[in-house]
Amino acid sequence: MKSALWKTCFFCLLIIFCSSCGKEISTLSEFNSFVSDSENGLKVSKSVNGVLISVIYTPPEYISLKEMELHGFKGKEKYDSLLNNNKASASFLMIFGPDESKGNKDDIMYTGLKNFKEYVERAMTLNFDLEQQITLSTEENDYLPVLSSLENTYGLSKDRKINIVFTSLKEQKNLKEAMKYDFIYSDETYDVGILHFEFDKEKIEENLPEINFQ
Amino acid sequence: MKNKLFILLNGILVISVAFCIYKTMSIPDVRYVKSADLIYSYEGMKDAQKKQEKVMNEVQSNLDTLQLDFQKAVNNYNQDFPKLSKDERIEREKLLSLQQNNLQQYSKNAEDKIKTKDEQITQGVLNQVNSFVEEYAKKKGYDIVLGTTTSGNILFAREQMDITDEVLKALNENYKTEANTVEE
Repeated sequence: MKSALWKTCFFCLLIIFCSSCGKEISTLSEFNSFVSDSENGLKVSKSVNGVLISVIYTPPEYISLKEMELHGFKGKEKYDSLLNNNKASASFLMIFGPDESKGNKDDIMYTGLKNFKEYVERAMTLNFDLEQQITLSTEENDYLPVLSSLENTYGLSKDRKINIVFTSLKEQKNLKEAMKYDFIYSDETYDVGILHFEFDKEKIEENLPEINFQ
Repeated sequence: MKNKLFILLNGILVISVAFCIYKTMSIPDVRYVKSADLIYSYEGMKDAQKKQEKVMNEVQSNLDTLQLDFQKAVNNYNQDFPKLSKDERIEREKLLSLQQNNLQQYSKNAEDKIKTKDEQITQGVLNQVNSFVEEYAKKKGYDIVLGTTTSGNILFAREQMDITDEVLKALNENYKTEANTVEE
């Protein structure tokens, strides 16, 4: 009797353990949490000179689910079609913020500024010139951003988020075939130098959660 | 009497040991790095120098093109000189003078631009190194990390206190940090 009880407990634990191994998500907010967790390999942060810069690789699976929710699409078929389109590009979310652990509590738009002229230059750079300071390097090619858009926070946040998208040119190897991404930011705004944010795409893809459409 | 003396001596011994431990613990852990070695061997600095070289080459290439154009214009003027009227000469000389001024202005602007970029790039690298050394020292429990310079702010320090190589290794590793990926 005791032995049967032990066996039942053991199997229950095994089932719980196994079910926790296979990651499965069903909503965008669950995917958001997964993407933002630096343990999952999609987020790299660097702090220099009181400025915290994070780069999050947003995989095509995430972008597709986001589009599904945005347009109210349903079903796996539509998702697969979007995924197929999105796989040709690589999207990243870049976040500039003050490193409060280093005593910087300013809004990142004003950090280290001396006058209004410098503020205007910074605003122009983050809105329109950031594409010239970013490169995505893979094993074979270097790619320049085709899109960079700064999200306006209207003073509600000290951080600034910038969406950046890369895509391959005709003569370049398709981005979906790359195994590693090296996101290089050559700063001209915050005196933080050249920063590399590396992502192992192969490992990321292995660890991505399954999407449950039911 | 003997007992009292024994207790007194024991007390003195305990206080002495405690004082020694306190003194040992309160000595700041000082280390030093050779600043120039650290900065110029840092991969971030090498990349920054390459970038700066690229900017300089681009500017120089533009400058060469403008100089070549100006030289051609001068040669053409010299060739045409015998055939030109006085008014035509004055007009061509004016144009040449304007072209020369533009060339000089471009050269000066380019020089300023390169200088500003150079300062900006160097400052970025120095900020990276300073931020990293601060974190590294905290992690390793060092109280003070000094930076030696050629002007000699440290005249002597034991080699064991030199942490240039270990900081450089960690700094270069940090320069190309890969995101954590959960191994399953």
